[in-house]
Amino acid sequence: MVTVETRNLSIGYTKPLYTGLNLQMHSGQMIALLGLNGAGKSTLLKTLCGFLKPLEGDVAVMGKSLGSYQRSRLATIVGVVLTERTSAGGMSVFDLVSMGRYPHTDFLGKLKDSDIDAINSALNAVGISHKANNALAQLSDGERQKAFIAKALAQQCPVIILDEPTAFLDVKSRIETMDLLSNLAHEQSKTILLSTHDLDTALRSADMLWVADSAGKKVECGTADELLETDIFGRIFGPKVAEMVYSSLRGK
Amino acid sequence: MRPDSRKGPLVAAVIALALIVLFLANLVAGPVKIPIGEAFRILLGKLSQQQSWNQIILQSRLPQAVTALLGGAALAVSGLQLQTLFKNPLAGPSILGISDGANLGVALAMLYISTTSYITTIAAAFIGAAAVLAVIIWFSHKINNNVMLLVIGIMVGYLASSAISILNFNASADKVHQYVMWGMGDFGSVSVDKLPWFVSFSLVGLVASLLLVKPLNALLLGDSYAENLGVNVRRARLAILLVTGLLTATVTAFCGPISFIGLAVPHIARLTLGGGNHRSLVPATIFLGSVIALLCNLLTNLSSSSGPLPLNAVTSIVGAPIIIYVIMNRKNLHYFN
Repeated sequence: MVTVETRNLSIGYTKPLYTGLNLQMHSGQMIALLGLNGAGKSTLLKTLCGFLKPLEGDVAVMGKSLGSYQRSRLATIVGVVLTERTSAGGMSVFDLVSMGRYPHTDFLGKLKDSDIDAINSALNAVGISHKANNALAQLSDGERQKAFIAKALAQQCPVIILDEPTAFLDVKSRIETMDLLSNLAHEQSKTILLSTHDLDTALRSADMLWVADSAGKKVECGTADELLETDIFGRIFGPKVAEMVYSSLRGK
Repeated sequence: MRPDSRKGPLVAAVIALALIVLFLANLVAGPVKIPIGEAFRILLGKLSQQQSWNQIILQSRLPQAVTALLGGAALAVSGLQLQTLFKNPLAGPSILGISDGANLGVALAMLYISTTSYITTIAAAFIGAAAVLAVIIWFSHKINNNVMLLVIGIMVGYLASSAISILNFNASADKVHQYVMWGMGDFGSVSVDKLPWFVSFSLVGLVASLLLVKPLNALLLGDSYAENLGVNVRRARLAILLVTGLLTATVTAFCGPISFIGLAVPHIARLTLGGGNHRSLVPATIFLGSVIALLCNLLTNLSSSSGPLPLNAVTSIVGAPIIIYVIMNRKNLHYFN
């Protein structure tokens, strides 16, 4: 099922970075958005989240234009995990994850039993329920990232968009995080879109790659094998990276 | 599984006890010592044999204690909201220039209007605070960056302070003295006839603060996360500015500019609760603000036979060590990283 679709989309702040984008995201699919620094990956993610208005064209979420959604309704469909590191004002992990229930609670934010169940289920899914009472600042970077993913899970959105979720993580945490996201896509039928510079784990875990080609003002889409048949890796990342990708996928 | 919440009831009980003890202490302590039993009798409407005691408690100490109770709560919860909004541990009610706007209004009224009643002073403070608030809100629509808005608030405060200096420079000595006395802050300046107004404005602001708990929590995560959770960040920011503006203007108008309570009490609340969830932090800050204000008011009245000490001297003595502790203590500062 198509969850998010761009229709002839142009994005950017004043001048268009990309034009005529026609991209699709499906449920149960994990997509990795790759590209160099400054290629406009975050701009694309911000536009898909609704933080930034399209310069032209439209983003359709669940078949309906993003702009036509009320904030509170959109908050139950698209969840985000951002790259910025915050200690969330000294909140505990439980409190942070409970923020995912924001769109589902009343005016005063009182948690019902069903909200508590959703929070505990999210904490269990990412494997940090034993840290529920810890302050966020007491967690390692990997655990902190899992806590924010748990917040997005507690939000119970079919679509989760993550901006560089592995940016501050060591190798072990990077692989754990990517495996966790891949499982969420495949076992809970979530649509996961993440931007990353971590080519290795993206090739290993993602079902689909989007490669941001800022020079050509377009985003190349395909599976890793499909894109390997093109020259996109060499053009964007250079011949050495293209060789590394080739040997990684073909084992040569 | 719910989070560990054993600390909450204990903290609430200690704060409630401190509040009751300090409120009663404010009624009985002072240059004239009144037995606690007599104070209770008077509060319950059974007047004491000593007519002067009835007069002291009902006309002076009770309004003063109620003013400290609500004024402390108002300043403290304003500080908490501004610290959360600007993600800055050193933000407070005076940081956006709102207090300075009230000061400027009062300076204009006191220094350049020949006869100033308390209504003129209060109206001038409100108009000054409202004018600065209007400027800040106008800028908040133009600028999305909270740090830049904070800088503009500080600049507006400097402009108001400069204008006050010029007004003082050109005013007569007795008018300047009157203004300086007002500037020292005094919970005792709200008399029985003014009290209903002060209580009404303060309660409106305090109840509105409690209703802002949910967006305040979301704003702790940053504007983007808040927006993704369904918060209209622009509207939430406007609501917080209006509520903190109302509370700051009310206290400054009736009691003069009172420093440090708005800055220090939110930190005491965070250190006491050990967490940053506004569901518990807002009520804790409100009650701790009352406790600290009652304590400061008590200290001003206990001090000497030559009359009460200036309130701002006492709030600074209580508040400054806390601010230094906050700066030196990384554990508390991490709330805003």
